[in-house]
Amino acid sequence: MTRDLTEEVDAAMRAADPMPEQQVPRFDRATIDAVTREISATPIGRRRPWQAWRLPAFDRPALGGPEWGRAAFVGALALVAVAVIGVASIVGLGSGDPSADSASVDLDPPATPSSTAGAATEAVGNEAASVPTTALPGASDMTTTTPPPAELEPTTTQPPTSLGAGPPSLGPGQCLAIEAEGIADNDGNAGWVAVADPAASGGAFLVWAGEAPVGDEIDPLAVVTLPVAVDGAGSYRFSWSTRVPADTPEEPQPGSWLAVDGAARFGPLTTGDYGGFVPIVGAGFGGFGWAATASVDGVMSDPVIDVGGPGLLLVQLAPRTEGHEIDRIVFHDASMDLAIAIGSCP
Amino acid sequence: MFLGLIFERHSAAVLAYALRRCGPDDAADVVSETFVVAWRRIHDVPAEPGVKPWLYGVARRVLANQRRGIRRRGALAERVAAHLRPSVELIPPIETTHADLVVHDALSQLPDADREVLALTVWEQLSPSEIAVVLGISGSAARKRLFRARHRMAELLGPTDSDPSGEIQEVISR
Repeated sequence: MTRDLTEEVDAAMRAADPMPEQQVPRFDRATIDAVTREISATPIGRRRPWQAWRLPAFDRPALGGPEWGRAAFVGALALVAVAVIGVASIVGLGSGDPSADSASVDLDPPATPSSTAGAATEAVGNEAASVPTTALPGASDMTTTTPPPAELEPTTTQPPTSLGAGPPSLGPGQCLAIEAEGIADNDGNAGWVAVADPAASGGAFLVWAGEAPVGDEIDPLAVVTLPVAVDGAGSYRFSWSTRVPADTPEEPQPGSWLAVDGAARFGPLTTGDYGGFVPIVGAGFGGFGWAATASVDGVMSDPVIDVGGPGLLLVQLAPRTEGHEIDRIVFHDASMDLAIAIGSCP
Repeated sequence: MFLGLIFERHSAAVLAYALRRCGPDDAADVVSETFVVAWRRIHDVPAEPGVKPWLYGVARRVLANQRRGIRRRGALAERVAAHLRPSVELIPPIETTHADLVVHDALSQLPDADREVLALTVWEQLSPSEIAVVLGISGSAARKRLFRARHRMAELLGPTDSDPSGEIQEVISR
Protein backbone atom coordinates (compact mmCIF):
# COMPACT_ATOMS: atom_id res chain seq x y z
CA MET A 1 0.00 0.00 0.00
CA THR A 2 1.39 3.38 -0.93
CA ARG A 3 1.97 6.15 1.55
CA ASP A 4 -0.71 8.24 -0.20
CA LEU A 5 -3.28 5.53 0.32
CA THR A 6 -2.39 5.28 3.99
CA GLU A 7 -2.76 9.00 4.37
CA GLU A 8 -6.04 9.02 2.51
CA VAL A 9 -7.56 6.32 4.69
CA ASP A 10 -6.34 8.04 7.85
CA ALA A 11 -7.61 11.40 6.61
CA ALA A 12 -11.04 9.96 5.86
CA MET A 13 -11.13 8.40 9.32
CA ARG A 14 -10.03 11.65 10.98
CA ALA A 15 -12.70 13.60 9.11
CA ALA A 16 -15.34 11.15 10.32
CA ASP A 17 -14.18 11.09 13.94
CA PRO A 18 -17.41 10.97 15.96
CA MET A 19 -15.69 12.72 18.86
CA PRO A 20 -13.06 15.13 17.52
CA GLU A 21 -10.30 15.99 19.95
CA GLN A 22 -11.38 19.62 20.36
CA GLN A 23 -14.90 18.56 21.35
CA VAL A 24 -13.95 15.95 23.91
CA PRO A 25 -15.64 16.98 27.15
CA ARG A 26 -13.66 17.30 30.37
CA PHE A 27 -15.11 16.51 33.74
CA ASP A 28 -15.09 19.49 36.06
CA ARG A 29 -13.19 19.57 39.33
CA ALA A 30 -16.26 18.81 41.43
CA THR A 31 -17.01 15.67 39.39
CA ILE A 32 -13.40 14.51 39.54
CA ASP A 33 -13.31 14.99 43.31
CA ALA A 34 -16.67 13.26 43.80
CA VAL A 35 -15.63 10.24 41.71
CA THR A 36 -12.26 10.00 43.42
CA ARG A 37 -13.89 10.14 46.85
CA GLU A 38 -16.50 7.58 45.88
CA ILE A 39 -14.06 5.06 44.48
CA SER A 40 -11.31 5.45 47.03
CA ALA A 41 -13.78 4.95 49.86
CA THR A 42 -14.00 1.35 48.67
CA PRO A 43 -11.23 -0.94 49.93
CA ILE A 44 -8.91 -2.30 47.29
CA GLY A 45 -7.31 -5.69 47.15
CA ARG A 46 -10.47 -7.49 48.23
CA ARG A 47 -10.25 -11.03 46.90
CA ARG A 48 -13.33 -12.58 45.44
CA PRO A 49 -14.19 -16.21 46.16
CA TRP A 50 -13.73 -17.21 42.54
CA GLN A 51 -10.26 -15.70 42.24
CA ALA A 52 -7.53 -18.24 42.08
CA TRP A 53 -5.13 -18.93 44.88
CA ARG A 54 -1.86 -19.27 43.11
CA LEU A 55 0.46 -22.23 43.13
CA PRO A 56 3.46 -20.70 41.41
CA ALA A 57 5.77 -23.68 41.56
CA PHE A 58 3.57 -26.40 40.18
CA ASP A 59 3.10 -25.10 36.69
CA ARG A 60 6.49 -23.70 35.98
CA PRO A 61 9.38 -25.52 34.38
CA ALA A 62 12.03 -24.06 36.65
CA LEU A 63 11.74 -24.04 40.40
CA GLY A 64 13.88 -21.97 42.62
CA GLY A 65 14.25 -19.82 45.68
CA PRO A 66 11.23 -18.53 47.49
CA GLU A 67 8.73 -19.95 45.02
CA TRP A 68 9.95 -23.47 45.59
CA GLY A 69 9.98 -22.82 49.32
CA ARG A 70 6.41 -21.62 49.18
CA ALA A 71 5.31 -24.60 47.12
CA ALA A 72 7.03 -26.97 49.50
CA PHE A 73 5.31 -25.25 52.41
CA VAL A 74 1.93 -25.53 50.67
CA GLY A 75 2.58 -29.20 49.87
CA ALA A 76 3.57 -29.91 53.47
CA LEU A 77 0.41 -28.21 54.70
CA ALA A 78 -1.67 -30.32 52.31
CA LEU A 79 0.01 -33.53 53.49
CA VAL A 80 -0.62 -32.59 57.11
CA ALA A 81 -4.26 -31.91 56.26
CA VAL A 82 -4.60 -35.31 54.58
CA ALA A 83 -2.94 -37.01 57.56
CA VAL A 84 -5.31 -35.27 59.97
CA ILE A 85 -8.34 -36.30 57.91
CA GLY A 86 -7.04 -39.88 57.77
CA VAL A 87 -6.49 -40.07 61.52
CA ALA A 88 -9.88 -38.50 62.15
CA SER A 89 -11.64 -41.05 59.95
CA ILE A 90 -9.77 -43.92 61.65
CA VAL A 91 -10.88 -42.83 65.09
CA GLY A 92 -14.43 -42.33 63.84
CA LEU A 93 -14.50 -38.55 63.80
CA GLY A 94 -15.00 -38.23 60.07
CA SER A 95 -18.21 -36.97 58.56
CA GLY A 96 -20.46 -39.05 56.35
CA ASP A 97 -18.68 -37.66 53.30
CA PRO A 98 -15.11 -36.91 54.27
CA SER A 99 -14.29 -35.72 50.77
CA ALA A 100 -17.10 -33.24 50.57
CA ASP A 101 -14.91 -30.19 50.94
CA SER A 102 -11.62 -31.57 49.75
CA ALA A 103 -11.68 -29.70 46.50
CA SER A 104 -12.03 -26.35 48.16
CA VAL A 105 -8.95 -26.30 50.32
CA ASP A 106 -7.54 -22.80 50.35
CA LEU A 107 -3.92 -23.22 49.39
CA ASP A 108 -3.24 -19.57 49.95
CA PRO A 109 -6.15 -18.68 52.15
CA PRO A 110 -7.60 -15.20 52.20
CA ALA A 111 -7.68 -13.16 55.34
CA THR A 112 -10.67 -13.32 57.60
CA PRO A 113 -13.34 -10.72 56.91
CA SER A 114 -12.19 -8.54 59.77
CA SER A 115 -8.53 -8.70 58.81
CA THR A 116 -9.43 -8.14 55.16
CA ALA A 117 -11.05 -4.87 56.08
CA GLY A 118 -8.01 -3.92 58.10
CA ALA A 119 -5.59 -4.83 55.37
CA ALA A 120 -7.66 -2.98 52.82
CA THR A 121 -7.70 0.12 54.95
CA GLU A 122 -3.97 -0.14 55.33
CA ALA A 123 -3.61 -0.62 51.59
CA VAL A 124 -5.59 2.53 50.92
CA GLY A 125 -3.44 4.47 53.30
CA ASN A 126 -0.21 3.12 51.87
CA GLU A 127 -1.39 3.67 48.35
CA ALA A 128 -1.98 7.32 49.03
CA ALA A 129 1.47 7.71 50.51
CA SER A 130 3.46 5.70 48.01
CA VAL A 131 2.49 6.79 44.57
CA PRO A 132 5.84 6.26 42.83
CA THR A 133 6.27 2.76 44.20
CA THR A 134 2.72 1.77 43.35
CA ALA A 135 3.11 3.03 39.83
CA LEU A 136 6.24 1.05 39.11
CA PRO A 137 5.73 -2.10 37.02
CA GLY A 138 5.98 -5.26 39.04
CA ALA A 139 5.15 -3.59 42.33
CA SER A 140 2.40 -6.11 43.04
CA ASP A 141 3.34 -8.92 45.36
CA MET A 142 0.39 -11.12 44.44
CA THR A 143 0.29 -11.14 40.69
CA THR A 144 2.84 -12.80 38.50
CA THR A 145 2.15 -10.72 35.44
CA THR A 146 3.11 -12.39 32.24
CA PRO A 147 3.24 -10.65 28.88
CA PRO A 148 0.36 -11.39 26.54
CA PRO A 149 0.92 -14.24 24.12
CA ALA A 150 2.63 -13.22 20.95
CA GLU A 151 -0.38 -13.81 18.74
CA LEU A 152 -3.83 -15.12 19.45
CA GLU A 153 -3.87 -17.22 16.35
CA PRO A 154 -3.26 -20.90 15.74
CA THR A 155 0.34 -21.89 16.20
CA THR A 156 2.36 -24.76 14.92
CA THR A 157 3.26 -25.84 18.46
CA GLN A 158 2.62 -29.50 19.00
CA PRO A 159 0.72 -30.09 22.21
CA PRO A 160 2.57 -32.38 24.59
CA THR A 161 -0.52 -34.48 25.30
CA SER A 162 -1.66 -36.59 22.42
CA LEU A 163 -5.23 -37.75 22.52
CA GLY A 164 -4.92 -39.82 19.40
CA ALA A 165 -4.01 -43.12 21.08
CA GLY A 166 -7.37 -43.60 22.78
CA PRO A 167 -9.03 -41.60 25.49
CA PRO A 168 -7.19 -40.96 28.73
CA SER A 169 -8.56 -42.94 31.63
CA LEU A 170 -9.59 -42.24 35.18
CA GLY A 171 -10.59 -44.63 37.93
CA PRO A 172 -11.49 -44.81 41.60
CA GLY A 173 -8.68 -43.46 43.74
CA GLN A 174 -6.93 -42.01 40.70
CA CYS A 175 -6.34 -38.68 39.09
CA LEU A 176 -5.86 -37.59 35.51
CA ALA A 177 -4.09 -34.47 34.26
CA ILE A 178 -4.76 -33.15 30.77
CA GLU A 179 -2.79 -30.48 28.98
CA ALA A 180 -5.72 -28.47 27.70
CA GLU A 181 -3.98 -27.40 24.50
CA GLY A 182 -4.20 -31.02 23.34
CA ILE A 183 -7.99 -30.69 23.14
CA ALA A 184 -7.62 -28.21 20.29
CA ASP A 185 -6.88 -31.23 18.07
CA ASN A 186 -10.42 -32.47 18.68
CA ASP A 187 -11.95 -29.25 17.43
CA GLY A 188 -13.21 -29.59 13.91
CA ASN A 189 -14.29 -25.96 13.84
CA ALA A 190 -10.83 -24.55 14.49
CA GLY A 191 -12.25 -22.06 16.97
CA TRP A 192 -10.30 -23.48 19.89
CA VAL A 193 -6.61 -23.02 19.36
CA ALA A 194 -3.39 -23.94 21.12
CA VAL A 195 -1.21 -20.91 21.75
CA ALA A 196 2.45 -21.28 22.61
CA ASP A 197 3.41 -19.61 25.88
CA PRO A 198 6.43 -20.49 28.01
CA ALA A 199 4.47 -19.53 31.15
CA ALA A 200 1.99 -22.33 30.48
CA SER A 201 2.42 -25.89 31.63
CA GLY A 202 3.53 -27.88 28.61
CA GLY A 203 4.47 -24.68 26.82
CA ALA A 204 1.00 -23.86 25.48
CA PHE A 205 -2.57 -23.18 26.51
CA LEU A 206 -6.02 -23.56 24.99
CA VAL A 207 -8.16 -20.55 24.19
CA TRP A 208 -11.26 -19.77 22.18
CA ALA A 209 -10.20 -17.65 19.21
CA GLY A 210 -13.48 -17.57 17.34
CA GLU A 211 -16.15 -14.91 17.62
CA ALA A 212 -16.59 -13.45 21.08
CA PRO A 213 -18.69 -15.69 23.31
CA VAL A 214 -22.10 -14.34 24.22
CA GLY A 215 -22.43 -14.99 27.91
CA ASP A 216 -25.43 -17.18 28.58
CA GLU A 217 -25.78 -18.55 25.08
CA ILE A 218 -23.87 -21.63 24.04
CA ASP A 219 -22.95 -21.89 20.41
CA PRO A 220 -23.18 -25.59 19.53
CA LEU A 221 -20.52 -25.08 16.89
CA ALA A 222 -18.12 -23.79 19.52
CA VAL A 223 -18.23 -26.94 21.65
CA VAL A 224 -15.09 -29.06 21.77
CA THR A 225 -15.18 -32.54 23.29
CA LEU A 226 -12.64 -34.42 25.39
CA PRO A 227 -13.40 -38.12 25.82
CA VAL A 228 -12.35 -39.62 29.16
CA ALA A 229 -12.64 -43.34 29.89
CA VAL A 230 -13.75 -44.13 33.44
CA ASP A 231 -12.80 -47.47 34.96
CA GLY A 232 -15.33 -47.59 37.75
CA ALA A 233 -18.15 -45.96 39.64
CA GLY A 234 -17.27 -43.09 41.88
CA SER A 235 -17.45 -39.43 42.62
CA TYR A 236 -14.91 -37.29 40.86
CA ARG A 237 -13.91 -33.66 40.98
CA PHE A 238 -11.93 -31.46 38.68
CA SER A 239 -10.03 -28.21 38.67
CA TRP A 240 -8.19 -26.30 36.03
CA SER A 241 -5.37 -23.83 35.74
CA THR A 242 -6.57 -20.85 33.74
CA ARG A 243 -5.68 -17.24 33.10
CA VAL A 244 -7.30 -14.05 31.91
CA PRO A 245 -5.55 -10.74 31.19
CA ALA A 246 -4.84 -8.76 34.35
CA ASP A 247 -7.19 -5.97 33.36
CA THR A 248 -10.18 -8.23 32.76
CA PRO A 249 -13.26 -6.95 34.60
CA GLU A 250 -14.25 -9.17 37.50
CA GLU A 251 -17.82 -9.18 36.28
CA PRO A 252 -18.90 -11.20 34.53
CA GLN A 253 -16.78 -13.71 36.34
CA PRO A 254 -14.30 -15.11 33.83
CA GLY A 255 -14.79 -18.74 32.93
CA SER A 256 -16.00 -21.29 30.40
CA TRP A 257 -18.95 -23.65 30.01
CA LEU A 258 -18.50 -27.31 30.84
CA ALA A 259 -20.76 -30.32 30.47
CA VAL A 260 -20.03 -33.97 31.17
CA ASP A 261 -22.07 -36.26 29.01
CA GLY A 262 -22.29 -39.81 30.33
CA ALA A 263 -22.07 -38.92 34.00
CA ALA A 264 -24.86 -39.90 36.37
CA ARG A 265 -24.64 -36.40 37.75
CA PHE A 266 -22.67 -33.32 36.86
CA GLY A 267 -23.20 -30.02 38.60
CA PRO A 268 -22.48 -27.94 41.64
CA LEU A 269 -21.91 -29.95 44.79
CA THR A 270 -24.57 -28.03 46.68
CA THR A 271 -27.37 -28.00 44.12
CA GLY A 272 -27.04 -31.31 42.35
CA ASP A 273 -27.35 -32.15 38.69
CA TYR A 274 -27.61 -29.14 36.47
CA GLY A 275 -28.46 -31.19 33.42
CA GLY A 276 -26.17 -29.74 30.81
CA PHE A 277 -23.61 -27.01 30.54
CA VAL A 278 -22.53 -25.45 33.78
CA PRO A 279 -20.65 -22.16 34.02
CA ILE A 280 -17.30 -22.90 35.58
CA VAL A 281 -15.74 -19.68 36.84
CA GLY A 282 -12.39 -18.81 38.33
CA ALA A 283 -9.15 -17.73 36.75
CA GLY A 284 -5.83 -16.19 37.56
CA PHE A 285 -5.74 -12.53 36.62
CA GLY A 286 -2.51 -11.97 34.73
CA GLY A 287 -1.05 -15.37 35.61
CA PHE A 288 -2.23 -18.96 35.55
CA GLY A 289 -4.02 -20.04 38.71
CA TRP A 290 -5.96 -23.09 39.84
CA ALA A 291 -9.65 -22.45 40.39
CA ALA A 292 -12.85 -24.06 39.17
CA THR A 293 -16.12 -23.17 40.77
CA ALA A 294 -19.55 -24.06 39.47
CA SER A 295 -21.71 -20.97 39.46
CA VAL A 296 -25.41 -21.62 39.05
CA ASP A 297 -28.16 -19.15 39.88
CA GLY A 298 -25.88 -17.19 42.13
CA VAL A 299 -24.78 -20.27 44.08
CA MET A 300 -21.11 -21.14 43.85
CA SER A 301 -19.74 -24.49 44.85
CA ASP A 302 -17.35 -27.19 43.76
CA PRO A 303 -18.27 -29.01 40.55
CA VAL A 304 -18.85 -32.72 41.07
CA ILE A 305 -18.94 -35.58 38.54
CA ASP A 306 -20.69 -38.74 39.77
CA VAL A 307 -20.24 -41.82 37.62
CA GLY A 308 -22.39 -44.95 37.94
CA GLY A 309 -19.95 -47.43 36.42
CA PRO A 310 -17.26 -47.98 33.81
CA GLY A 311 -17.81 -46.13 30.57
CA LEU A 312 -16.89 -43.17 28.46
CA LEU A 313 -17.43 -39.61 29.58
CA LEU A 314 -17.59 -36.84 27.02
CA VAL A 315 -16.30 -33.68 28.64
CA GLN A 316 -17.60 -30.78 26.58
CA LEU A 317 -16.16 -27.32 26.66
CA ALA A 318 -17.70 -24.12 25.30
CA PRO A 319 -16.53 -20.50 25.47
CA ARG A 320 -18.24 -18.23 27.98
CA THR A 321 -16.11 -15.14 28.55
CA GLU A 322 -13.50 -13.70 26.27
CA GLY A 323 -9.84 -14.60 26.72
CA HIS A 324 -10.27 -17.43 29.25
CA GLU A 325 -7.02 -19.32 28.67
CA ILE A 326 -7.06 -22.92 29.86
CA ASP A 327 -3.69 -24.46 30.59
CA ARG A 328 -4.18 -27.74 32.44
CA ILE A 329 -7.16 -29.75 33.67
CA VAL A 330 -7.00 -32.20 36.54
CA PHE A 331 -9.72 -34.77 37.27
CA HIS A 332 -9.42 -36.69 40.50
CA ASP A 333 -11.26 -39.05 42.76
CA ALA A 334 -13.25 -37.08 45.30
CA SER A 335 -11.34 -38.75 48.11
CA MET A 336 -8.09 -37.29 46.81
CA ASP A 337 -7.05 -33.87 48.01
CA LEU A 338 -6.98 -31.23 45.30
CA ALA A 339 -3.47 -30.06 46.17
CA ILE A 340 -2.18 -33.63 46.00
CA ALA A 341 -3.89 -34.16 42.66
CA ILE A 342 -2.46 -30.96 41.22
CA GLY A 343 1.01 -31.59 42.51
CA SER A 344 1.35 -35.28 41.83
CA CYS A 345 -0.91 -36.22 38.96
CA PRO A 346 1.02 -37.24 35.85
CA MET B 1 -3.84 10.82 45.25
CA PHE B 2 -2.93 8.23 42.63
CA LEU B 3 -6.38 7.30 41.39
CA GLY B 4 -7.39 10.95 41.41
CA LEU B 5 -4.43 11.74 39.19
CA ILE B 6 -5.26 8.91 36.82
CA PHE B 7 -8.87 10.00 36.59
CA GLU B 8 -7.95 13.65 36.11
CA ARG B 9 -5.44 12.89 33.38
CA HIS B 10 -7.25 10.19 31.48
CA SER B 11 -10.99 10.33 32.12
CA ALA B 12 -11.58 12.59 29.11
CA ALA B 13 -9.65 10.21 26.86
CA VAL B 14 -11.59 7.20 28.16
CA LEU B 15 -14.86 9.09 27.76
CA ALA B 16 -13.95 10.02 24.19
CA TYR B 17 -13.03 6.40 23.51
CA ALA B 18 -16.43 5.32 24.78
CA LEU B 19 -18.37 8.06 22.97
CA ARG B 20 -16.80 6.99 19.70
CA ARG B 21 -18.21 3.52 20.21
CA CYS B 22 -21.50 3.95 22.06
CA GLY B 23 -24.10 6.49 23.14
CA PRO B 24 -23.68 9.00 25.99
CA ASP B 25 -25.63 6.96 28.56
CA ASP B 26 -23.57 3.87 27.95
CA ALA B 27 -20.39 5.96 27.76
CA ALA B 28 -20.85 7.14 31.34
CA ASP B 29 -21.22 3.52 32.41
CA VAL B 30 -18.10 2.50 30.50
CA VAL B 31 -16.02 5.26 32.09
CA SER B 32 -17.36 4.38 35.52
CA GLU B 33 -16.70 0.67 35.18
CA THR B 34 -13.25 1.27 33.69
CA PHE B 35 -12.08 3.35 36.64
CA VAL B 36 -13.63 1.01 39.18
CA VAL B 37 -11.61 -1.80 37.59
CA ALA B 38 -8.52 0.44 37.66
CA TRP B 39 -9.06 0.98 41.37
CA ARG B 40 -9.47 -2.73 42.04
CA ARG B 41 -6.35 -3.45 40.00
CA ILE B 42 -4.44 -0.39 41.11
CA HIS B 43 -1.27 -2.45 41.55
CA ASP B 44 -1.49 -3.63 37.95
CA VAL B 45 -1.79 -0.13 36.47
CA PRO B 46 1.47 0.49 34.61
CA ALA B 47 3.62 3.59 34.93
CA GLU B 48 3.15 6.47 32.51
CA PRO B 49 3.01 6.60 29.56
CA GLY B 50 1.37 3.20 29.70
CA VAL B 51 -1.71 4.19 31.69
CA LYS B 52 -3.90 5.35 28.81
CA PRO B 53 -3.50 2.23 26.63
CA TRP B 54 -4.09 0.08 29.73
CA LEU B 55 -7.31 1.96 30.47
CA TYR B 56 -8.41 1.64 26.85
CA GLY B 57 -7.87 -2.10 27.15
CA VAL B 58 -10.15 -2.22 30.18
CA ALA B 59 -12.74 0.02 28.49
CA ARG B 60 -12.69 -2.22 25.43
CA ARG B 61 -13.59 -5.26 27.51
CA VAL B 62 -16.26 -3.35 29.40
CA LEU B 63 -17.76 -2.30 26.07
CA ALA B 64 -17.57 -5.85 24.73
CA ASN B 65 -19.50 -7.10 27.73
CA GLN B 66 -22.00 -4.30 27.37
CA ARG B 67 -22.59 -5.23 23.74
CA ARG B 68 -23.21 -8.81 24.75
CA GLY B 69 -25.90 -7.59 27.09
CA ILE B 70 -23.94 -8.33 30.22
CA ARG B 71 -24.72 -5.43 32.51
CA ARG B 72 -24.01 -6.62 35.98
CA ARG B 73 -22.28 -3.61 37.40
CA GLY B 74 -21.67 -3.40 41.09
CA ALA B 75 -23.14 -0.75 43.34
CA LEU B 76 -19.90 1.24 43.26
CA ALA B 77 -19.90 1.50 39.46
CA GLU B 78 -23.52 2.63 39.58
CA ARG B 79 -22.70 5.38 42.09
CA VAL B 80 -19.74 6.57 40.03
CA ALA B 81 -21.82 6.56 36.84
CA ALA B 82 -24.41 8.70 38.61
CA HIS B 83 -21.71 11.33 39.21
CA LEU B 84 -20.62 11.24 35.57
CA ARG B 85 -23.99 11.24 33.82
CA PRO B 86 -24.85 14.94 34.29
CA SER B 87 -21.60 15.96 32.59
CA VAL B 88 -22.00 13.47 29.76
CA GLU B 89 -25.60 14.46 29.09
CA LEU B 90 -24.46 18.00 28.36
CA ILE B 91 -22.43 16.93 25.37
CA PRO B 92 -23.99 18.42 22.24
CA PRO B 93 -24.71 16.02 19.39
CA ILE B 94 -22.06 15.94 16.70
CA GLU B 95 -23.18 16.92 13.21
CA THR B 96 -22.88 14.08 10.76
CA THR B 97 -22.23 14.67 7.09
CA HIS B 98 -22.84 12.32 4.21
CA ALA B 99 -19.09 11.72 4.00
CA ASP B 100 -19.07 10.71 7.66
CA LEU B 101 -21.85 8.23 7.02
CA VAL B 102 -19.98 6.73 4.09
CA VAL B 103 -16.85 6.31 6.19
CA HIS B 104 -18.80 4.81 9.10
CA ASP B 105 -20.62 2.49 6.74
CA ALA B 106 -17.26 1.31 5.40
CA LEU B 107 -15.98 0.89 8.94
CA SER B 108 -18.99 -1.20 9.87
CA GLN B 109 -18.11 -3.59 7.06
CA LEU B 110 -14.65 -4.23 8.47
CA PRO B 111 -14.05 -7.14 10.84
CA ASP B 112 -14.08 -6.02 14.50
CA ALA B 113 -10.33 -6.45 14.87
CA ASP B 114 -9.58 -4.28 11.82
CA ARG B 115 -12.07 -1.60 12.80
CA GLU B 116 -10.65 -1.34 16.30
CA VAL B 117 -7.02 -1.17 15.24
CA LEU B 118 -7.83 1.54 12.71
CA ALA B 119 -9.88 3.54 15.22
CA LEU B 120 -7.18 3.26 17.87
CA THR B 121 -4.61 4.51 15.37
CA VAL B 122 -6.50 7.44 13.94
CA TRP B 123 -8.98 8.47 16.60
CA GLU B 124 -7.08 7.59 19.76
CA GLN B 125 -3.75 8.30 18.04
CA LEU B 126 -2.00 5.29 19.52
CA SER B 127 1.19 3.73 18.20
CA PRO B 128 1.24 0.05 17.22
CA SER B 129 3.02 -0.83 20.46
CA GLU B 130 0.31 0.95 22.46
CA ILE B 131 -2.39 -0.77 20.40
CA ALA B 132 -0.72 -4.05 21.29
CA VAL B 133 -1.31 -3.26 24.96
CA VAL B 134 -4.97 -2.45 24.34
CA LEU B 135 -5.65 -5.59 22.34
CA GLY B 136 -3.34 -7.94 24.21
CA ILE B 137 -1.36 -8.83 21.12
CA SER B 138 2.25 -8.32 20.05
CA GLY B 139 3.48 -5.13 18.44
CA SER B 140 4.21 -6.90 15.19
CA ALA B 141 0.71 -8.38 15.15
CA ALA B 142 -0.70 -4.88 15.71
CA ARG B 143 1.31 -3.54 12.80
CA LYS B 144 0.13 -6.38 10.57
CA ARG B 145 -3.47 -5.80 11.52
CA LEU B 146 -3.12 -2.08 10.89
CA PHE B 147 -1.68 -2.67 7.45
CA ARG B 148 -4.50 -5.10 6.66
CA ALA B 149 -7.15 -2.77 8.05
CA ARG B 150 -5.95 0.23 6.04
CA HIS B 151 -5.86 -1.90 2.92
CA ARG B 152 -9.42 -3.15 3.43
CA MET B 153 -10.67 0.30 4.33
CA ALA B 154 -9.09 1.74 1.20
CA GLU B 155 -10.91 -0.86 -0.86
CA LEU B 156 -14.21 -0.08 0.84
CA LEU B 157 -13.71 3.66 0.30
CA GLY B 158 -13.04 3.16 -3.40
CA PRO B 159 -14.20 6.26 -5.29
CA THR B 160 -16.43 4.45 -7.73
CA ASP B 161 -18.61 2.67 -5.21
CA SER B 162 -18.81 4.68 -2.04
CA ASP B 163 -17.93 8.20 -3.05
CA PRO B 164 -19.62 8.79 -6.39
CA SER B 165 -19.84 12.49 -5.81
CA GLY B 166 -16.24 12.78 -4.67
CA GLU B 167 -17.37 14.14 -1.31
CA ILE B 168 -14.91 12.07 0.68
CA GLN B 169 -12.07 13.16 -1.53
CA GLU B 170 -13.13 16.74 -0.91
CA VAL B 171 -13.07 16.21 2.86
CA ILE B 172 -9.69 14.54 2.69
CA SER B 173 -8.16 17.27 0.60
CA ARG B 174 -9.28 20.09 2.92
